[in-house]
Amino acid sequence: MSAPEEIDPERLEQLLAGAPPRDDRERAMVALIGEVRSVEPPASAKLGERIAALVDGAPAQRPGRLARLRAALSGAGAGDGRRRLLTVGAPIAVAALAAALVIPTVLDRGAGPSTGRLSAELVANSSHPADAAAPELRFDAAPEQMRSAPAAEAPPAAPAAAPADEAVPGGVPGAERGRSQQVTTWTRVRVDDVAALSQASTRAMAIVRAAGGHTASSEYQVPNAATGDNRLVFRVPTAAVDRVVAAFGDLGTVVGQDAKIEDVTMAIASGDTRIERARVRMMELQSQVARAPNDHSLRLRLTSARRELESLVAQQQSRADRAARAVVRLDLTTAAPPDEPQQQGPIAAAVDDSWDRLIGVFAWLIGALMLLGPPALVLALALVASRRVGRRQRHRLLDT
Amino acid sequence: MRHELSAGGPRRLRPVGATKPDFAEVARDNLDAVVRYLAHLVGDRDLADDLTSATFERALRDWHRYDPARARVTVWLIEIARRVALDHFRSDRRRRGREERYAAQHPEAVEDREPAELSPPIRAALAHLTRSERELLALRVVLDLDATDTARVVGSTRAAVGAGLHRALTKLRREVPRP
Repeated sequence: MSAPEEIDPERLEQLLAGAPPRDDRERAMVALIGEVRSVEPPASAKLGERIAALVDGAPAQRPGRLARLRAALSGAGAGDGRRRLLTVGAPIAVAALAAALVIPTVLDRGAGPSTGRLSAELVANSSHPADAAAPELRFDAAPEQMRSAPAAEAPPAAPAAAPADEAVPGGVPGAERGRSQQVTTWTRVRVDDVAALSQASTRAMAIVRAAGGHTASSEYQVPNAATGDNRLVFRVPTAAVDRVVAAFGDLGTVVGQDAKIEDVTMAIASGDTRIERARVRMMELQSQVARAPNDHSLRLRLTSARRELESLVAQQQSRADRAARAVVRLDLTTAAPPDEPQQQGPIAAAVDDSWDRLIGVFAWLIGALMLLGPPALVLALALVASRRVGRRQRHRLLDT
Repeated sequence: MRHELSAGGPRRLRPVGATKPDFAEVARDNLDAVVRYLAHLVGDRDLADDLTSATFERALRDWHRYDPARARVTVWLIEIARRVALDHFRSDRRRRGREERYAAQHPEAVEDREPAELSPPIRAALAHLTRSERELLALRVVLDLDATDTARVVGSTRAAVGAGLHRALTKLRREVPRP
């Protein structure tokens, strides 16, 4: 709030603009403004000569590039609006055309949008892996070809396939005689209806029993009269896996298969060695205890050694059991295959393809934004901060 | 060809662009404004003359970048003058710091300054204002720039400029001894 002798800021602006004063107080302020205006005389002649010499001595200047560009864009002495449009529009059009040509090409080379269609069966296959850790054998084929699935190539890490019994079409390659291998397979079979589902389940169990295996688990689901699934897990002697998996091909249409083989021969051999050593140690401790029955620490060590031996034996047993009997998973389903993609006309195909490319371009732009956004933000914040600091420094220089 | 600037010598028109005036003409027309602004800001006429020369040197060097559509030429020159003055204040502060450190180490080297000559009451009153207050007076009162241009020069808002001017004039009124 102003003191009584102070003039209102708005009235002050009016007095500065030349409004006539209304009272003594305002007259005094106007007089003060006049004194301030005249306290400093104009430039001296000497200064004027100095500046004139400076101007005379300077070379003729050409307007800078930015000024020339602005002049061209504003049409000042450069022509009419059409020329301005060409000056601005042409580079933009060229840049847009280049981007439209380059970006899709780059996307197609790299991880761009998918241009083909994956069959739902293959997607279903890839979504049900056996195990990702060990080398896998994967069969991806069209549904009609999977009835007698051909033997696929073994991956480099898997052991070389040895001809076990006769070659079994649709069997699991890679299982080798004379080696201990943990085998896991997965097969997906489509059946016609719920009745066929039930029959196929029964037959599968019979096949496994005949091969010397047993059913470990079964998840049978029939939510309605038309559809159903049964997920079966069997333990099958490893030597019979080939025959069993091949026999599953007769249950319906095989639409997916997967197999994993893990060679545990060395692990079992080293396990045997450890067991032998543990047994020797235990026997030594037993003889020591016999000689010194009252030695409590010896008894404790003997107990510990016995427990260790038991643990090793159990592990070895489990390993051997796992190698002796493969885990064979069978998924029976009534799910229908996806519809065949309809043939598109050239225009529809082009529109479809263009839409994919447009989505790809947007994805690329969003990716670029996410990549460049944070550094740009940091840069912008740094710029704002430096301007603030500069402004504060200037205020500090002037507030003295 | 020479130009007599402060005495209002012959004018020569040589436009670089369609609306950009000749620098010599601009210098002649705005010399008084620049020197008065700097005199108020730094409070020393001799120093203001030196800074005015530096201002026009810089303006001549950057004349090709001046765009009449963006600001009036007076405002553009005053902005340059302000930057020149701020650079001087910065270097002056560093120099004073060095001198004070030296004086602290060598007290026998400190000379007694002669007292400044007596100045009119209004000058003495102006000397009691801060630089930013004197700057506002120079821009709004002496050069008669409007609030928008003044705000642009000082990097502030119109409201802040108005409030600052009111404060400066009120303070000045209190400082000036009344008859």
